[in-house]
Amino acid sequence: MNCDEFEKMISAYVDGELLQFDAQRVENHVADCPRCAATLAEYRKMAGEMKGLRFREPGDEELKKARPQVVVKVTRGAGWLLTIGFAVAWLLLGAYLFLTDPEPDTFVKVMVIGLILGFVLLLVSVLHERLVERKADRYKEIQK
Amino acid sequence: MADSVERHSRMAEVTDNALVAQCRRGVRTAFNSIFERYERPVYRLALQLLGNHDDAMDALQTSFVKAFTHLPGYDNGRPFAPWLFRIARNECIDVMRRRQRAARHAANHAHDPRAPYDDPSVLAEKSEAKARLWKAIQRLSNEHKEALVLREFHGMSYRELAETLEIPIGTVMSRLAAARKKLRSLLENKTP
Repeated sequence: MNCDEFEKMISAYVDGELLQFDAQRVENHVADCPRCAATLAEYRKMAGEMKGLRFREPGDEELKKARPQVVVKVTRGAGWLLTIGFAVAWLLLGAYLFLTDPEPDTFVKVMVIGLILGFVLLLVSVLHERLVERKADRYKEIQK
Repeated sequence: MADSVERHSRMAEVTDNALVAQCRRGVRTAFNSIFERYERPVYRLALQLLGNHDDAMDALQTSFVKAFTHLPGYDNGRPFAPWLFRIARNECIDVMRRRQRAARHAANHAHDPRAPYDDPSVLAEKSEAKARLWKAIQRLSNEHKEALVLREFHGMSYRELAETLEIPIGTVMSRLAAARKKLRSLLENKTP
């Protein structure tokens, strides 16, 4: 096993994640290898310095404000899902009833279907355009 | 969360699962309890991965929205904390990918209005050595940074890292070794 392979084990050794047998191999190797001994010392130093980093904490008020927003977003998401799901179900049911109803003649059915198709195409076109514009908008991350 | 997710999970496993069961029944106070318990650790993870307070607050909210939305699919037999952390980590990765796309797009523009992502004000103490270390961590690749952050700042074991990052334990070991090697080289090169 060469020093490069030991370096990977040294990292796990610092974390205390090696089995006793492998830990012993690392210790034996480090005792005879100044390069790997320096790596071990450096990794321990880095771990110590990282443990010494303290991070900014959000204020209690800031977190209190965030909580209701989470609840609103969860309930709004569920609301949208239910609304869209049942709207689609209604539309499908309406389309089925309309198409299977023998009363309106074929001409009326074609006119209505054409109108709906045109509306759907317009909607898809507008949504597509908005999506493309949004992707290319370099100011989208700026809050208004 | 304390230093170790595992320790925290063991302490809170029963109550976490009880709270999750209550959340599934729509008990509002259970939502608040889970939020109170995990809001700071999730914020800290997001701050350490994203390096920016505003983005961290957004990621915190989105992570909890996703967690509560996906609660019906959560396996009650597994610890809650790594599951929540995986959601938060995935959310941070999405933010980082969006940034990379935005950076590519903004590369041709002289003025980039976005906030800096290695903002030294995320550190609670002002010290040149600590700022230099933090800056070097922020310069690691996303893969290296997340492994190192979860290990060093959240005390995750390799098993927890494997579960959170959805990779084998052997990959955790090599990823952390590569992250440390890169960090060492960045620090030796005197990161400005």
